[in-house]
Amino acid sequence: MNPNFWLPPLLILLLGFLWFRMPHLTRPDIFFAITVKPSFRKTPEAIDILRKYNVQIFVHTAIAFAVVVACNFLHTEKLYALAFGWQVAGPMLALKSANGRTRPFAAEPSREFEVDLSPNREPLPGGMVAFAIPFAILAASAAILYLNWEQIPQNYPIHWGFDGKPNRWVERTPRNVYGFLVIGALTCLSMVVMASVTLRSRRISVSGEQGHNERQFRRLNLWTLLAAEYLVAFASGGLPILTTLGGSMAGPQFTVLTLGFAVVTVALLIRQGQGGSRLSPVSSSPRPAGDRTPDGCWKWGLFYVNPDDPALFVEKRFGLGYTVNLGNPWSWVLVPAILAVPLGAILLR
Amino acid sequence: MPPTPHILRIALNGDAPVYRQIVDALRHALVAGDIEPGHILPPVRQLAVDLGVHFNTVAEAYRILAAEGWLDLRRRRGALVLSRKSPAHPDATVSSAFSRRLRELIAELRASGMSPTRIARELRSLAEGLEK
Repeated sequence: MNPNFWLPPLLILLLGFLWFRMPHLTRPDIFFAITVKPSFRKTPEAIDILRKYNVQIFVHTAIAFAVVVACNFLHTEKLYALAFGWQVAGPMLALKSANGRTRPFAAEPSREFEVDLSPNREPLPGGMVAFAIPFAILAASAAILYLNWEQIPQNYPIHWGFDGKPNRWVERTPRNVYGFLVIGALTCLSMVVMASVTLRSRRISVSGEQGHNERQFRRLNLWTLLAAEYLVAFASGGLPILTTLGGSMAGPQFTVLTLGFAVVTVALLIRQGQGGSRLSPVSSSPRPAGDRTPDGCWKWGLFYVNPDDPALFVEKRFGLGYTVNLGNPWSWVLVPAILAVPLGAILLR
Repeated sequence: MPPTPHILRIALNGDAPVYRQIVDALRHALVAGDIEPGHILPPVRQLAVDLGVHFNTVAEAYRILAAEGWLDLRRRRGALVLSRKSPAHPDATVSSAFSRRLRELIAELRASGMSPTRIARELRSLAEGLEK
């Protein structure tokens, strides 16, 4: 069966599954982005908040799924953006609502901090060399394209469908061909920056089992960024060469590889939970440890805005991984710089 | 295998300013020998991020400890813990300041309801720990 038919609805369902699971993946003393006592989750109030959230997620997923299926039967992709947008915006509203209902049950977090006084933190996985290789791949691709310029078809592929086949082309010009590589390199660069900032992000627990779990969680995030960087390098450097010069199609295999990467990464992150919190039993401490960020600085439970916090990256309160502190002036440089890459890709398209 | 982290526990919940609490916690670790000479403390920015306080708060704490001779501050590279020898005899102002602070603290504890017997017991326990 054509992947263009079944993959978008499957992605909508996967997103719905993630939204359903998300409240269970956060730290035990964070509930819908509010600091609570670890025992709060078992109270009738918490169960009621979770039930209402689940109902909303179910409704939004059903609507998005219906739109995608309708698109498939009408043989149009025009409403895909609406369906995926709905599957993001709808659950965000559900989260905002649950966040507001949880706020009256907020608990004061502990003010006892552990700090790691070691001057040198753990290194990037594989070191800077591992993060630099994707740039070498892109440079090699540029060299191959340059040396085989005449063999590149006049219509140069820049976009691939869910089935891995090219579905959008541009005219073969140096700007189009090398511009695609430059966008790939900038995307890789943004991943290197994110890895470096993640490495310097705040440690919430540094000792004992929880500290060990948190280190494992950070390491998994760094490995994910590294793997994603290689995927981007291959997508923007290797894929155009294989589809134009190589003869045989590598697109379908790449789709499988990307999907496999996404599924494995999400499964590993779900297994660990935010900050590695699912790797060990829930603390019996009556006072929440919190995550060293104030509840009031989380907007909609998703966006952290705290000008008094020097951290640039902090652990997400709802989701897996890290998010940017929009109150830090450096975020005004980092976020537009990262957003500029996909915007540039759209302009090039 | 990552190196064992050198951990400091700080309770930022008192009435004292945060920089003072950081100074007190670090000085306690330095005096007790938990942090040895030659160790490099994390840069100001990293410690500020970990504690969630402003850079200047940590910088002030480091400056005070550097003025006391505990640290050699190195730009962007953290703070080197120095081998610090205590003077043979503290000067008179230090002794009188110590007595005054101790009296103030005892008064504060008594005002808050702690019995003189309990205070004396705590002080005795501390004194015995010092003499060991």
